[in-house]
Amino acid sequence: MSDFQIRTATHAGRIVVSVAGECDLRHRDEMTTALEAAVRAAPVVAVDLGAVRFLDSSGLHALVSARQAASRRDGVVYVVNATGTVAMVLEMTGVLQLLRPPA
Amino acid sequence: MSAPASYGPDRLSDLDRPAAGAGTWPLWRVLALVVIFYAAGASLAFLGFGAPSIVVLFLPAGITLSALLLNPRTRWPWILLAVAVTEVVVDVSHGMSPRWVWGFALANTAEPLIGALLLRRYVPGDVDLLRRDHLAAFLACCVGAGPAAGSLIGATMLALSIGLPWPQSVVSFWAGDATGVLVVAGCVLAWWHSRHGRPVGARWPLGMALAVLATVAGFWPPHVPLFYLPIPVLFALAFTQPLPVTMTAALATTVTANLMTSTGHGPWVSAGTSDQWQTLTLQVFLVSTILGALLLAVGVAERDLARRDTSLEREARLRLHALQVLTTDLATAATSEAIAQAIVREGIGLAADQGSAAIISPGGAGLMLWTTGGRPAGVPGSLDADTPHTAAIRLRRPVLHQTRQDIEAAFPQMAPDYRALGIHSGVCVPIPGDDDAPLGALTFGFHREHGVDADVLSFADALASLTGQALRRAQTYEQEISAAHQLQQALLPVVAADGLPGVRVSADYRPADLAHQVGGDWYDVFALPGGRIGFAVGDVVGHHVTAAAAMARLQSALRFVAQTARHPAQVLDDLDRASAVIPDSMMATVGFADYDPVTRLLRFACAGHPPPLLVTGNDARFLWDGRSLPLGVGATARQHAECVLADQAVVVWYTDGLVERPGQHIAASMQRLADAAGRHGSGDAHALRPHLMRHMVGDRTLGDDTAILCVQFTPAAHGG
Repeated sequence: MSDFQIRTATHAGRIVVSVAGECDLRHRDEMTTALEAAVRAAPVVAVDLGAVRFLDSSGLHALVSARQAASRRDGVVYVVNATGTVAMVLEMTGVLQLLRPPA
Repeated sequence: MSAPASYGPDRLSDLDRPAAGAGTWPLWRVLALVVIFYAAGASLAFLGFGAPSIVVLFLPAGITLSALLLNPRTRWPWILLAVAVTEVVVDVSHGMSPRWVWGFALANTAEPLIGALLLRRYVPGDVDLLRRDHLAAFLACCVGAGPAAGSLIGATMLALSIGLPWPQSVVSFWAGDATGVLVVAGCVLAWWHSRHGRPVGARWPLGMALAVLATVAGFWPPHVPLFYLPIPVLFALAFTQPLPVTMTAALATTVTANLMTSTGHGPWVSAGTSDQWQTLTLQVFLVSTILGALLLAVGVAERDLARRDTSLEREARLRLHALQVLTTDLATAATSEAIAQAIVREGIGLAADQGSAAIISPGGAGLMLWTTGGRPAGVPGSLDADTPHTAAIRLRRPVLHQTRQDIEAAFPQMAPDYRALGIHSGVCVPIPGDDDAPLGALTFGFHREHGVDADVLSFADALASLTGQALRRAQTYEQEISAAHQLQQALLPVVAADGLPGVRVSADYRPADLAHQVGGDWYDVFALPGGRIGFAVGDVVGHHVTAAAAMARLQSALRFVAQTARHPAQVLDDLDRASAVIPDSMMATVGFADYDPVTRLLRFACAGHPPPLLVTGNDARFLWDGRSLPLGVGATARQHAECVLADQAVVVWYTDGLVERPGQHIAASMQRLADAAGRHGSGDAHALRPHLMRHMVGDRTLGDDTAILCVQFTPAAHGG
């Protein structure tokens, strides 16, 4: 079975959501729920994708939904540590430019 | 014989019902036995044990008590009357004064009556001497209280008739009667209870003979104390044998020891005390030995029970664990086939030696069958055939057969199969459906006769209802998935292959094999004003009917906006705005291109969609330009790119299912796609498309929908 995991850690002024495993349709709801809770709780949410092995359109959907929810409250969602195929999917779809860390 | 009757008993209780036995003996038979044994025992007391002493082993006390305990109360008066008459006759015939015998008759009926009444207060049903509470009640009521009352009456009679000292008589009578009750009633109760306990086996006479031998040996030499020899024999029997064997040996030891003593053998004779003391202490010795053996047997039985409980518990735990594994597998099994396979692989073997699962096929016309052996069984796949499956489905209840003869009589045409499989007994339970109609049936077969017990039946029932739940879920799911697929297929354009001038089109769409991953992939090819040709590929996030609906709306919106837009970037812009009112279209990716056969100009734009692959001859490269964000993400500048194509060039466009999969870098997959396309070359789109599909997908299980569109650009022969 999949080893999908999502953990939320609170730091000063921002929340880091660490995702691991395969982000596909099976875990879309779980991921959306966790990200939306993070967006509600802090203006800055970093999503650590370092341990994600697979990201499909469902995972992208969850990330972009979180970003839109954050924008409505003047918050920011960005991704860090995306590598390999995950980085490429983010780039290919253009989602990476939406989810770049604030300068 | 009517057909349903041949399918075995309706309920398990029919299996458990005890065979009719001594409990239903006619009254005359009971009375005759009581009279015969009572007379024999009483005469033995007079002739064998009794001559020199009044402390005689009185076996009839146990006979009367046993008769009362094994018969309903309505028969007690008759039994007691028979005992009283027999007592009077025996006493008188042995020379007692008729004036006093009524007193002994009273003593010998009051004693068992009191014992039985008291015991029945505490133990209403079958008496199991291996249970502490039953044994304690038996000892207190029947061995203690009953004989105590009897001896009070008897001693009073004796004091009045021949003037014997009263206290001495009470103790003597009590010892004789209590010993008689303990060995005779103990023996009878042990045998009676063994009907549904541990089987006794055929070698019990051996134990009895051993006890007699040990007693004879122990009581033979008058001056060498060997009287303890029966003790190890009785204890060994108590330790290893069922209770009836021990109690029979105890009875034999008691009778033998008393006979030996009364015929002048053994240490008691040479003890030099009064006869009364001799026989009294002999009974005390015997009773304490037998009590020791009984307690040992109780201890052993409790130990065995605890062990069996532990092993049953472990078995139950293992079974529970296996069931949990099975339940998990059933939860993820999305199709009837996967469920049936999980059941035969992990479920049936938990209870039976082998078995099968039969599921009624969706149309209701036939049966699909899976067996634990994985090999095809001889069961015809028809609901009309006479098999356990069809019988259980038709009768809507378990079909049970405990012997091979039964099975073969019920299903004669199946006999060769059962013989080949070594099936001797089995049960087939229907898989319950929503309304009463079963969805199929499960069989549980055993290599032995009478393999189906209450545990198997309740497990089979549980497994069948688990299977039923999973099947109902899967069938609903299958219907939904199939509806989504049908909708999707219906909405996909019938690409008029080669119907448009200047292009040759080959396309394919494969739904995901994992049903929960069905997405909303689509492609389209259509004519545009000015002789141009537009084509598009898209992917809607989501699943089932909602994704298919979003896909359909996006597709028609795109066709509409493409008619008026000036270039692909504007098509995507317009589509983005249109998508604001299309539910579930957020994050949909779309690739759109248009091609002018006259100028050979290809203009293309990707809204988050994977790039098209351009194959020219043996050269294949991705067109990475003209990229922008997916739909519904927010204001974004759309752009497109363009290039002029060579004759016969092919654009391969696809959805992420073709290149994206867990455990593989998408860049590597895309490179593989490009390599495969390059090697094949752009010669013929109709050959290229299946080649790429085979190369990229093959027999792999598809985790996502996959669409592929190959558009080949032919010389504009008609375009002018």
